[in-house]
Amino acid sequence: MREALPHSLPRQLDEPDRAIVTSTRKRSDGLAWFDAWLLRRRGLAAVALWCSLVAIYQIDDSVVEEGDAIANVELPIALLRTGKLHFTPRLSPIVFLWKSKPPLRERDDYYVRSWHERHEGRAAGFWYVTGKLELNGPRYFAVESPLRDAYVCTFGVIAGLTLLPLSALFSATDPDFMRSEWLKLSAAKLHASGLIAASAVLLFLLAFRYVRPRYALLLATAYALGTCVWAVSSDTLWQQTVSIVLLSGVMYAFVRIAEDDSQPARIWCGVLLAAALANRPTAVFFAVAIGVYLLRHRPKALPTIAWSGLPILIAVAVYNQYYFGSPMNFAQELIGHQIAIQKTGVEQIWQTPLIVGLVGLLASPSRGLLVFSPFLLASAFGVRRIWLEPKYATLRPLTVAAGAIMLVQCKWFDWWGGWAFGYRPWLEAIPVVMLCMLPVIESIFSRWWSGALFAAALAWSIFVQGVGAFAYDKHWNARDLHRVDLGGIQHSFFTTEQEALQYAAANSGEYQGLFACNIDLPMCRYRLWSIDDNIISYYMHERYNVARDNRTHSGLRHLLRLP
Amino acid sequence: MRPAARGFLLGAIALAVVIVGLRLAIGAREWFYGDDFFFLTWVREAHWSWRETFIPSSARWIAAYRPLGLDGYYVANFALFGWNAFGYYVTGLLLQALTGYAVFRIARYYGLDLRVALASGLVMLVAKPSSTATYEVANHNYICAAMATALALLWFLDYLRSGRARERWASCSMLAIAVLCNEISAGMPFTAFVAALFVHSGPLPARARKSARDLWPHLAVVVLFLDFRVSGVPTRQLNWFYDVDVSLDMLSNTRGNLELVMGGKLEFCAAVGLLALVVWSRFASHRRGVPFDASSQLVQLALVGAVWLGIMLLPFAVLALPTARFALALLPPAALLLGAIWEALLPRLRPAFRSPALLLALALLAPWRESLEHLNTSRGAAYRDAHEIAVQALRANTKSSCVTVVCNGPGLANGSQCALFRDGAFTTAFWSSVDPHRALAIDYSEGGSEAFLEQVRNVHDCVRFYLQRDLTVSTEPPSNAGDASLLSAR
Repeated sequence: MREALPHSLPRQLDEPDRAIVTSTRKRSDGLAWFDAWLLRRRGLAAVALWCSLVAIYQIDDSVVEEGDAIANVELPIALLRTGKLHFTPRLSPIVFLWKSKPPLRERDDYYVRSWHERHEGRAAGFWYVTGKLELNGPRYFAVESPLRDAYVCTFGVIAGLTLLPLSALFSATDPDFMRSEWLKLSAAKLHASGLIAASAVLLFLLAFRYVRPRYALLLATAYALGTCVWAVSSDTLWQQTVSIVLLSGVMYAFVRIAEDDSQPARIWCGVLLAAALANRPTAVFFAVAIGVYLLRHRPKALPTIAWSGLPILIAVAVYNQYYFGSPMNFAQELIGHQIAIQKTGVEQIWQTPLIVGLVGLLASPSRGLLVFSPFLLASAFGVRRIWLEPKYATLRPLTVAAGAIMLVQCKWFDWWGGWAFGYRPWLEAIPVVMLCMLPVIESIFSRWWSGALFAAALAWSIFVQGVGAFAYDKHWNARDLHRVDLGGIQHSFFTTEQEALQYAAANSGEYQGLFACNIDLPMCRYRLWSIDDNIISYYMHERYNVARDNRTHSGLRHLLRLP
Repeated sequence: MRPAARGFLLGAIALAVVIVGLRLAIGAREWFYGDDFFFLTWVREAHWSWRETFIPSSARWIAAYRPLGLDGYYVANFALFGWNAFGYYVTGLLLQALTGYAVFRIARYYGLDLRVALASGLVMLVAKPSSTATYEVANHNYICAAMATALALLWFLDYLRSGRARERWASCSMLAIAVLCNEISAGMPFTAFVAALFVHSGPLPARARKSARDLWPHLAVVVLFLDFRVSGVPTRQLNWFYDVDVSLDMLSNTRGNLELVMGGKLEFCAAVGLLALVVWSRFASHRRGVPFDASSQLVQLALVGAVWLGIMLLPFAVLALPTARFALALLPPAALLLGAIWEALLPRLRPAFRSPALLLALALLAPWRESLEHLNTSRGAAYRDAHEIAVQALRANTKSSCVTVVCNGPGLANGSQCALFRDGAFTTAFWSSVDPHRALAIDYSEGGSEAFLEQVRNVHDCVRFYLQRDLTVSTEPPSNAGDASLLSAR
């Protein structure tokens, strides 16, 4: 090739070119061995990454009882006990509302975790048989079947079923397991962290195809520790936790189909996609985007994908038919309107203005993606490259699907994701957001300043997630604030009594004392936009120690028989 | 510059000076009018805020969501001019001049002769709606929207030519401003799409794809705006006010709106006739063997202008409410279409006649008669007088608990011609010069509300003034009260 160059080419130009090449090579030599090692020991690196992440996720040594996850955790227990996929008040009291009478505190939504739990000095079961506790319907995470005398999980069965093997194992090794919510939650956290670590490993293996191994490892680590998958998804068995790992698997299999025409990947893609669809309807965007792409580029793969996913879809259809009378009736859909009315006063579930949800999930001080994980901003530049450069054409349908999911979540009435830490509604899309960083990650680190900026943003993100993982106890979502009524429907809330009294005096308002200002209440929703009252500083400065104490100690040591 | 062009320029400047002078003279005699009082009250209320303006938590009496064209416009102008309505009018005039500049630039982009492009720009200043529909400041949101839309299109065309990203984002930002002035601008991306189709090369689907790619930020702005407008803004609009009527009446509504744009039936017919002449002459040339160049710049301009006008006309056509204020938004595309017609016809005239013909056309578009009549009759001045009388009466009459100016008696058909009256509560925030503990009631009701009049009659210790049909203020009730025929007479 060199001989083909014209001899008249000025010699002077060669020198700096060579010098640049040499210096680049010198710079990269430092870590070239690491790249080579990762490339050679890819499997070992993946296993090591998975183990490290699971360990890190458990390091906070605590669990939080999240409402959305309770039914998912309870489902395998119900299945193991009764062989059925629904709950009964007798076996799963935690899934139900209880109406309590004195000497218990009178409430319509009394909380009973188990019949052995002690209330006013006696087991809850005692109060039940003496008529002091009466069933008052299911909590929002269970739905009454209109056809049968049964209550089923609002969030489907897939999430719960993934926990079945671990639940079976622990119930076989620990006789207390089935009766202890504490142990169930600890098992759920172990399971969830395993799933999220698996999604990070899949991302790592996928990134191998596009960037040098060290950057693949960096991206997987950044995803696992710098995004809310650590503070939220790995903490317990959310429906989304399962969705994240299933969609990560779908992405991996899809890329293998598109680029390698892999036969096993077709089957995996179909199975995982069907499971993701059965678990959460938003996966339909992935199904459509991937389907359209494969139809154009790998049409022969589609029948295999469809056949391999069909059994799962048929099973879910049978389940829906059995409990709801139609294969297309989903529990989440049935209850969605009720929750929308409770939270917003309006029945429509697609009621949020797109721009409100978008700005909120991007920049809200207590929910914003760019606040909790600012390093993800780099993905915006990556998306452009993905659509401009043919090398990344395979990733295009994934960006479409993730974008659609993110937009849909912005329109959802509950765009802030209820009680949560960070941008929970967007978590399913985060693996794709990370993939969007592939085209730019190497160029970010080719300049010192952009590398430093990225590193600083990533450090902040990991710190914030750490705060969430260690200290988030849900309390911020309904923290006590000092309330002043200004007449009519106008209310103002203050963090200190002095501020509230001063404001009341200045505006002829009436000081009402402390009020649990729940962000799900329309009058308290302003808090999502408040810089002073933001969730990060709340757990970082104001409440870290108290919140740590509020979190229940993990029962993992007990389960694993560790000292 | 050629002598002919120089002559035209001098003539155009003279015409513009006369028209602008007339408009300023009329503006100096006018005062606030109709819905202005609602906004002047609203933006000065204690609970007004920018947040409430852009993200309203509850519906206002006038529920139109135009945060920049209404609230923002009043806030900015009130800060600058206070109760001096003339200042607001000058602002509107300047915005129209800026729109004229944008129209001129777009016309030049499509290769129109300098004189024709100038004449197209001047249409913005001399056309009848500019002289008759701009005294009510509440109408200025149409001027703002027209200006921002024209600039957005202009900068998008600049982007298409240069490929510079900053022009694209400037265009996108201007579109955001336009839709926040008035939702009528939301169709701009479609006009820009048609314009972009001509710029790109290749088969139509490829051109369409490239054009759509160029316009994605604009589409995002429009989608976000419309979505927020539909699901984020509390509505309290009167049903009859926006009664959508999709039928053959749309044609007559369209004709009505176009007549208002052109200044009357005669002018509209003349424009249609000239357009027909252009089409016929092209057809005749084609039959004589002259090839019809479908991609010529003139045809492109005509198409872009027609699409722009059509998109703007559509919402007005289904509303069955042709009014001159709508015409303010329709003027830029109409001016471009007129420019295309003039450009096509001008070469048919002898060179010596071209400049005078253009000047004559512009002069014919100007509403001379109405302007001169308007110099002697001021609608808004009646409200100014009523205001002053009411304030003086309230100061002088210490016993009365309120002063009522009944503005929409049977002599004045439109209830919104006067100031704010909401839910039976007398507003006190309107006039800061009045003791805030003393009430001052100004009727604001729909179509001359009898209920309101009844309510006013039942208020004790109230000094009442009645606005007469001749726009004078009297302490006596109109003698012909209750004569419904008079309502429709105006």
